[in-house]
Amino acid sequence: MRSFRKQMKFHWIDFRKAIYIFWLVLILVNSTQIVIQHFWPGIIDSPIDQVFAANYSVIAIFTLVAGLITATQTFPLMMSFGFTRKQFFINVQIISVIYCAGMALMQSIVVHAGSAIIHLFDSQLQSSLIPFFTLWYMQFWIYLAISFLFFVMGIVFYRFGTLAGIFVIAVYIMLLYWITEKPSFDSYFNSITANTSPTLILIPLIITIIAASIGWLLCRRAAIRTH
Amino acid sequence: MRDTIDTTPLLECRHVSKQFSGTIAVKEATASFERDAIHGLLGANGAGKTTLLHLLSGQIFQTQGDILYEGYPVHENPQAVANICFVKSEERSWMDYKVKHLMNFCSLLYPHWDEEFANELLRTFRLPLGRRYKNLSRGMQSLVGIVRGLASRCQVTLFDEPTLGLDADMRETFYDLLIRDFSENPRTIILSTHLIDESAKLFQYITLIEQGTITTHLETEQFMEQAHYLQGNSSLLERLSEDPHVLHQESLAGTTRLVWWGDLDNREQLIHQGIDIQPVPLQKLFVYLTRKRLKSSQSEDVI
Amino acid sequence: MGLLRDDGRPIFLQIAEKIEDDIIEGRLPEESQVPSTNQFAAFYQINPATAAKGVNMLVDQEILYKKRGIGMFVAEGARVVLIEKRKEQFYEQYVVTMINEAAKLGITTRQLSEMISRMESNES
Repeated sequence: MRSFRKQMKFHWIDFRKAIYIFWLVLILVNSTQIVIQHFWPGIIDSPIDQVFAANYSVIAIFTLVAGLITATQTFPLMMSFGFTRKQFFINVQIISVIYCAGMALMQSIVVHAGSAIIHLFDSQLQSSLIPFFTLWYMQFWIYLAISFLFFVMGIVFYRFGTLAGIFVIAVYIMLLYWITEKPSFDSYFNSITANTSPTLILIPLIITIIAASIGWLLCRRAAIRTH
Repeated sequence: MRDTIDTTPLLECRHVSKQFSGTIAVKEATASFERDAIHGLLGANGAGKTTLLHLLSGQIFQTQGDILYEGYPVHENPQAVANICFVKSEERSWMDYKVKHLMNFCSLLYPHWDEEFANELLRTFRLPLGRRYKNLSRGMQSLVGIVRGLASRCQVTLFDEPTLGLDADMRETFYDLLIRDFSENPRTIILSTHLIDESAKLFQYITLIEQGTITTHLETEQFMEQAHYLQGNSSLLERLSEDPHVLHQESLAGTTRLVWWGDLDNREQLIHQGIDIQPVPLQKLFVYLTRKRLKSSQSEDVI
Repeated sequence: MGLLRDDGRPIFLQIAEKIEDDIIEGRLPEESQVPSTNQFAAFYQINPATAAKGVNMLVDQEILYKKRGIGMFVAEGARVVLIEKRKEQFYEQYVVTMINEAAKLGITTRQLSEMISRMESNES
């Protein structure tokens, strides 16, 4: 059969350009922010090492889009090359893990290296950085959950059409609203950023498992569009 | 012993039906596609050729019936789908990719991909490697598909209207390449087309699909042996015109010409009476058959 | 080798006839090698199986024979056999037709002989 290496190479060729550009732009933006903050302090309100905080959301959005595209684009592409749906889904699981680990790693490096660079110029700045490994670990699980949640949305769009996809969007928004309303959410969110127990990953883990299962159930009987 | 050819079918469909919310696209389709042969899948527009090919490749699921590869169901069968290359007339999932990336994917994902041959084809077809699939002309999109179909050397290769958008010169080139590559690398090829006159001589077997059902699957010669032009005096032939074997009838100044489909029992008798019996070219035969069936199904609706 | 005719006649027969023509007209001498079925297929743009059918028919009729690992060759005496066969076909195709046509036009056998003599004197 096809070698694992070749399959991974295929995914890499498919995705590498987007990843290169993404990080190039992000690091450029971060660098610009740092430079501006250094020479014109006060222009940007937040403390300098909060420069990297916005990155999380941006990466989350990128991950979300990647999840969607995997379902709507990579799925028919791989099917056109003679993969079974099971093989496709196994591929999805592997590349999602690699992708999320990679993105989390990059961001952790950016945060830690970036903060170190900032301290070279503004040694009086105090900062409380989340330890490298914890930062990487937490991001990984959150991105993975997002990736699968939007894979599910993508499969719904592909298999059942635009209306059904919009319905899923509505459901997600309602769930999000409901979750953020709960008082326990605030404390959860603060715990993440304040670096507490790693068992907090339990929630994204459960979401990942549920979303991945639903994703498989929808994917295994998905027909490729004929026109 | 090595001279015996394996004639067990590689790909089969048995009583396959496919329904798309209301419309029945394929109905009780049954055929065995003999291995290492070029099959022509013929049918009018909307007859179900594209749907059938999608079913055979495992990309869509049948409502009922079986689709078998080497005797085992195609559905989610890794050996089957990896060995079936389905070249569609337009590959929507390829839109945003550059030709060179698509060829790269082919070389990574098809174990028997012939890189040299593919490059030769890319040169012959003058395909721009740096251009995205969506920015190619219709004809060039077809050519990319043809490169994949020929160079992948898959055991089973399905072509759905591969010549769409190609001018006569390119179509000839394709037929040449197909014959040459098939001769050197025999495999099972199923090609759907509505350009019958050009491609008839490529096919060893003909499968005719009409309104979702496979009505015929025969060797091209056997298929054509079933049809005859009968031309002669109207007085002699007119009485046959109501016979269900007659697909078509024309008369001019005392001479009648019939298209007869089926066994001709009284051949000698007819020749003796001065009736001229001639074979019918495949393109014309196809037209007469589809028109006849269309007429009979319409009259059924009326009743 | 000429072009194939799209008149509904089986292609494999046309292939066989072309090989026969070449043998009769001396383009394919006895014991010479005949092109392979793949070459026929490529030249006429036909299915290799069809080309093979035509060639195999001539093998069955002992007009051609196969040398293992090398290819197909014209059998000894093939030309004579083919000419005899064609003579019989000539009778059916041309002579019978001519007589029938003559009868239609009211031309007598004597008039036919005169026409043949006229043709021969024109030739020389």
